[in-house]
Amino acid sequence: MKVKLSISKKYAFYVSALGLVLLTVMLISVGIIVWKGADTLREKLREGTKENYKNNYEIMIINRATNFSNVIFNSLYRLDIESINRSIKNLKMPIKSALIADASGKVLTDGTSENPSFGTKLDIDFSLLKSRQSLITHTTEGYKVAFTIALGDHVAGYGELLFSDDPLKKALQQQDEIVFSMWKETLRRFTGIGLIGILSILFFTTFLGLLFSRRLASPLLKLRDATKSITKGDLQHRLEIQSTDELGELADSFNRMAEELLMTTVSKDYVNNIIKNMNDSLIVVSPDGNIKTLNQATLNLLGYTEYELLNQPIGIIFEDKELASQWAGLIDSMKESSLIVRNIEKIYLSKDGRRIPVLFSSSVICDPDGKIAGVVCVALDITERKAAEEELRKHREHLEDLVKKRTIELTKANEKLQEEITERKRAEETLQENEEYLKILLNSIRTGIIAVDADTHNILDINPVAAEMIGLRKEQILGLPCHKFVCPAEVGKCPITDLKQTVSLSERRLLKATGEQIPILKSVVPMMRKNKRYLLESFVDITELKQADEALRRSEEEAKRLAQENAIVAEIGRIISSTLNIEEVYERFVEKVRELIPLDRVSINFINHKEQTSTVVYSSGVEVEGRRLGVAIPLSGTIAQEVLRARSSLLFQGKDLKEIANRFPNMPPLIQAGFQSIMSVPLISKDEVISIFHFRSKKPNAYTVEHLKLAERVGNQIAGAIANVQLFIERVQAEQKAKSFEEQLRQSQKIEAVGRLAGGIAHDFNNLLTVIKGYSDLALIKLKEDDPLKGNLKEIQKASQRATDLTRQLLTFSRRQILEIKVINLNTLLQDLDKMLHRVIGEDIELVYLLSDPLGKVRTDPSQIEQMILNLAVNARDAMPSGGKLTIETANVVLDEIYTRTHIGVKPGRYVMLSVSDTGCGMSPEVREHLFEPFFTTKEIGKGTGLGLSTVYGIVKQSGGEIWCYSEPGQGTTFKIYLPSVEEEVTTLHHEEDDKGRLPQGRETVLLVEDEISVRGFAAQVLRENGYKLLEAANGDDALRMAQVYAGKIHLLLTDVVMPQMGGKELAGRLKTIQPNIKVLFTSGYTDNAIVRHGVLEPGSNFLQKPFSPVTLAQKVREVLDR
Amino acid sequence: MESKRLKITALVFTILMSCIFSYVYAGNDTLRKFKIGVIGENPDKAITEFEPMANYIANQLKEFNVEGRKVVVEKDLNGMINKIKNQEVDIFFDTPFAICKIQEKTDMIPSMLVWKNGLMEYRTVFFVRKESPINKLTDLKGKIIVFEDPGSTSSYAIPKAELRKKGLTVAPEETKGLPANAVRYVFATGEMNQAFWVIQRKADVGAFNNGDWDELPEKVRAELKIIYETEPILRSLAAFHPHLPKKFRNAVEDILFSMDKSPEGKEALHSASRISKIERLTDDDLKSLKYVKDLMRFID
Repeated sequence: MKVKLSISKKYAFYVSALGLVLLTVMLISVGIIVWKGADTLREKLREGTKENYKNNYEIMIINRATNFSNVIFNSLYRLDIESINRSIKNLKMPIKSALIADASGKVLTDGTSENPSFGTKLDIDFSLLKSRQSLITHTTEGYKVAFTIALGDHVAGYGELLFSDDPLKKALQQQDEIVFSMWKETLRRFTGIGLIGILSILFFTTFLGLLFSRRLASPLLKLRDATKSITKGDLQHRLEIQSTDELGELADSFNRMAEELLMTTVSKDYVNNIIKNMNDSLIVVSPDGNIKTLNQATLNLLGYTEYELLNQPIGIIFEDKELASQWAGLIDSMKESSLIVRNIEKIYLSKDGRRIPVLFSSSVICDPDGKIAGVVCVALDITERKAAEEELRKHREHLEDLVKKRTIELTKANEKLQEEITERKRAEETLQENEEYLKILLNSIRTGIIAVDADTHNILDINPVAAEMIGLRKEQILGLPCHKFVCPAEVGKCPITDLKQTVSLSERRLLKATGEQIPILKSVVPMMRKNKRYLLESFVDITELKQADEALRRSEEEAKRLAQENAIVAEIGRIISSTLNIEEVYERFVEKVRELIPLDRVSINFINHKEQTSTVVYSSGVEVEGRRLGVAIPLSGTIAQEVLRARSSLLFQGKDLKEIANRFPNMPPLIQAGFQSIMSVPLISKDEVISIFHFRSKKPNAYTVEHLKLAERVGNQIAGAIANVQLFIERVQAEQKAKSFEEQLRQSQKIEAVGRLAGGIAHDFNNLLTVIKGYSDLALIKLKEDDPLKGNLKEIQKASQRATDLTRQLLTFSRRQILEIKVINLNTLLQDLDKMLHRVIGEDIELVYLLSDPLGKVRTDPSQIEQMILNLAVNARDAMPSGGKLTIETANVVLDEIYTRTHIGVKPGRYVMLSVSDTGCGMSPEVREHLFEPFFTTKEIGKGTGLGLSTVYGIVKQSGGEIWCYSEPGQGTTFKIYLPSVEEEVTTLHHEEDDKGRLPQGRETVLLVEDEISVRGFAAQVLRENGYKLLEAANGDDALRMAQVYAGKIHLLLTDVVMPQMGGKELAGRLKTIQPNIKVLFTSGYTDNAIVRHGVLEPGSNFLQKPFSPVTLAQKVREVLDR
Repeated sequence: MESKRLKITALVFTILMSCIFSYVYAGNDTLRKFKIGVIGENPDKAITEFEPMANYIANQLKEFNVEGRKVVVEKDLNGMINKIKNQEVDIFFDTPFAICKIQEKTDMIPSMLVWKNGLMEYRTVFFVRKESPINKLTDLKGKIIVFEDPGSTSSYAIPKAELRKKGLTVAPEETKGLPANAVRYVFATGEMNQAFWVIQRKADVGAFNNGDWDELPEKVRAELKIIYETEPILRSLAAFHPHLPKKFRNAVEDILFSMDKSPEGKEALHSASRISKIERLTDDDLKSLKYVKDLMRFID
């Protein structure tokens, strides 16, 4: 939309916009200057702070270093390292670390108990340090200051202190915060000032704009108004502008021009009055054919308004449309010949389409240059004259036509009269013959014929056949009304009203004298005889024919119905065989039934004889409250109960409904739903009603007996099929369940078998590892620090530790690991593990906890659970190399019997669920199948042992729990772990005091029984070296003999559990008879939980897991002896 | 005359018996405190440490009319000897050397082995620099040995005695007029200092117990080597006052031997200078004690 603005508003707008632009530029400039200023200020302050900090900090560093040097000089001089260490420990921030070296630069101590820097060379330029008191260097860690520890010329050594950069960072941060707050404050003020400025400028510029516009635009506006007045013919209008500038001159010129115009111009009013008062139509047409001026007479004549005709083509008022197209040529020709058209007849067309004949004249008007300025057209209305002429012409033509017609009529009448006379003579002759012939014919044919008076409809004549059909004599019939016998139901409705009309053969009824009506085929022919109107009705008895037709029709309908039923039954059979989806069977079955039986609602209810309920398994159509899908309805008081009792269909409709409503308390919902027809059909299979088929319709008496029979027939057909489908579905579900169980069992057995194998291998490994690890530990203790073999032994120690870890994982997987069972809260454990989890998964993975609080407690080994969660987290991390989300969730759940039926091995009860989910790459079904198998890994070679998830599996199983994995490729993975919930109090976890790995000693007598000679040798050596007296035996028999002959007290029996001939438990039992107070410590590499806890050994037995180190053995022996 | 003498004798006997009965009767009825004796520089600290143990024992000696307890602290051995002589101490805890010394002066009966910090014995090790040509004690003639401080048993008394036992002359470094082959000693006031004095060649050899050796930083230990270890020496012993009734002693012993079996007892033991448990002395222990007594002959 284009906005029309006055010149004054434009002035105001331009001035305001200019002012605003200038202000904006100014504000931006000021803003940039302020920002740059603030930034420069910030930089300067930072530099200043840095410089200041550097200077002050360096001074402080030098002072601290000097002080420290003085403090420790004495200690270093006396080589009192412990005192130096104490001084270092007393150092406070910002000193992060210290190194003290001797005069040769060799570091003596860094103040820590491990002293890892000892012996290294101090990394400083000693020559430079000689000339200065201290050297300061800046490193990424902070400021390092090296200094000489000396008194006078006596140099005791050197020191190096590392000062943290934190104070500088803090100072810079504070500086930035100050600058930022200043900038914020300035910006706030600047914004306020800016806003006030903008508003002021807007106001000021608008005011200026209006002022200027008044001054500049006012004369122009006056000039515009004066021009408009002059144009309208007001030649008296003058401008009043008092100005000496160009505008004043313009006003004077304008006034002079108006004076001259007034003097030279004829009055337009005068001309207008002439035109206005003309009776003839006057139109001025422009050279291009458009109407420029017209008078009132024209408007009156044509019925247009002035507005409708002005500037319209002249052709609009002429009947002759070609005139418009020829107008230009006409004008030209008029110009050339200066023609003036006078009094020619033309037809005008009025607005409402009337033709108006006019006497038309025109003349050309030219401008001073001789060019045609227009054509003046004058027209005189000659309508009345033309009408009179036309009336006269019509009268004359009418008279001529009348004369011609009368002459022709007279001629024809004469000819016709002659023809009729001849014809009548001939007809009278033949009529006599025909009457005779017809009489014979009427009496001989087997068609009843009645002649009826067309006016009174009384029978005038009747042939014998008709009388016989009526069952009366002719005399009894004649004179009686025809409708007494023929078409008795159509009295007063005689189809024949016109003698020209004929009623062709139609089926009617004939009322015999006996009162019986018989079907007839009747035709009626009207006739005139002796100027009297007759109706000749002929008819034949079609009773037999109708009976045959009816029989045929019924036969066809029955055949059709049967065919339809059979087709539907066949279709139903096809439906049943095409799908096992019972819902689909119901749907399509009902769809077919609906084609035969009208219904507003249909439902199939499954009968539960045991629970005496009826459940809606399918419904279609109108919903009924309390009869929705899946709703189990008690049978009592229902129609279904009656159907079951009667074992037959029921049909209630019309009055029946009200009567039975009282019998069935459950009927009201059906009646309220508006059903007026109710039909229920039992579906019986194997002599048992399995379902009931309910049909409901809102129409009264919607169902017939045929419908009922049809419903029963279809119901009988479908009942068996439904039963079969249900049986089949149950069988398939049972097979699927069995298959699922079989698969779970197979998987479980496979993992169990692998576990047993792993456990067996681990047992032998543990024996070997005990020897390898034990002797390497012993050798390491005994070797001197500089012994070249020490490195090799450490490698052996590391390797054996790795092997021990692997074996432990195998044992965990095979559930043969000894657990330190405690009652814990998984949420607490996760809180403790949080830091480590973050370290494990890295920064790219978001860790989310969804912890249920309060959470049930579980009995398990917390360290094992920690291991399990870490293993799952590591796997999740590896599945999300580009980052993602790891969600750990806990919840209290109840696994019911339904769940346990589909998950083998799970017992119903309360569980604590731990779920670990990632958004990683997920797993294929093939990978999932082998997920928990040991040594199965999808990671690159060397990146995974394949024991992570198998360990998890073992931990969960050993804790009496269950683990399930849900994963799809590209959809992430979720592990759900269910641990049995317990009501016990949480065990307080505390850590034993570290005894720095010292070997506890003792002087008791220990009987060591071990069939593995190498293990026995190692254990004996460890115990002997720690003060114990040792009795060694390779088997149980030797041990017993030894105990019998040994005179002193045997304090402890240290025995392997599994040995040939006599096991550890039996040996311990028999030894108790010899040494009643002997304590027993069992050891084994095969830590089957069932053997240790529930089989061979009693609960609470002392047990030492192989492989064991010298420290572990010595500590455990001591612990048992001290117990 | 004979009759008069008999009467006098009967009277004296009667008076004597009355006194004895009075003493016994009075003794049984008088409430007494159970007294533990220890030597310590800081009496308050020692009392705080040993009070839980004294309480624990005293509470179980009600049948002996024990009511209350007392921890007797003396700063030196002589003070303790006086206290023992005055029967102000029922049981005394200290090192084998102190016990042996007190046994000589007071007839105290050492009968219990005291485990400290999980250990019952230690050995003193002699160490030198890794590259040192010194390989046995007799190589130390004319060398400087660094001990911890004069109050240390394992790092002064034992090594000094062991050297003397080997026939070496051992004297302070500053002693004038020593023979050239004498082993001179200095004090470094700390095990770590001892190691550094040897490494930095301020001394030729150092000596402290094997526990201290184990606690040296690995890098420091790597610059040293052990040239000699003494026989094992019991860490600590307990001795009863000889005048205590046997029945009372047995009762106290039973309490002490079972203290580590109960949490309260264990805590009380640990409070008392980190005692782990207390056992009856065996023959082996007595042998070790004999070794200590043997060494004591060489201690000033």
